Amino acid sequence: MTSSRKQPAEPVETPAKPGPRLSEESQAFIGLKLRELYDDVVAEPVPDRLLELLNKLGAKDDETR
Amino acid sequence: MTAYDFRSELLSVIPNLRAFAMSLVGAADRADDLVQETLVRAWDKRDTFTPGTNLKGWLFTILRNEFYSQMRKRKREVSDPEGAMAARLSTHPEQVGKLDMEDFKTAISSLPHDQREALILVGASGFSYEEAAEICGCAIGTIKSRVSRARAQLATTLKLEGDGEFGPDAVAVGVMNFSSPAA
Repeated sequence: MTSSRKQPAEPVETPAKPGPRLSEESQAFIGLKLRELYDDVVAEPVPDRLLELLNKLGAKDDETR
Repeated sequence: MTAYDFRSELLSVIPNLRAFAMSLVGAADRADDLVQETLVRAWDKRDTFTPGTNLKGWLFTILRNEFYSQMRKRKREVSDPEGAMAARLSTHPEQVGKLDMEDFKTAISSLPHDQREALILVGASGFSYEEAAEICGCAIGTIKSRVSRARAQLATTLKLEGDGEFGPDAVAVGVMNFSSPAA
């Protein structure tokens, strides 16, 4: 991690109560679904408008250097 | 780092930025707006990035800051989206055994922002607790607590463990298992 530390560390929130814990099955299930959801988006092609933006940023830079 | 290198490195992180942005805003067009703004900002301050360090974390921090500053601006436009989500959830009483991705998405989006982002960063984006804490500008213990509460909330919402009675002995070991990002 780098320089962009913005906020000072805040006080630790109340730690999770020692109350109910999840079964390993539930934890595995949540983890799996979470990654599935996330990886579906990761697998999508980068939208054209973002590619165009990158090219534009690069072009601007090439001119000025 | 040349402009070209930086650009191609940005490109390589975009899929992850989009997934994180989706988890924050829930709509593809708004997520891409957020990524777009993030890329512009990252480009403008690229001289402050140290090559060889964690670009992904650096970009996530920028995206998150941008998201929260937009949220503050738009606060008045937003009318209790979390309440609306909760209402929609209550129309699905019988989820056990046929939980599909839509239900899971709805449950995720009903989490408080701080818990959802902690869960995503650690459970899906592949950041360590320490990195997630740095991205969120808070203590490691805070991230751990948020992740733990998010998972408990999901289990309740999705009725994973009966009537809120969780198994007695899956303790911190399980937390660690879930949280260790796949390499």
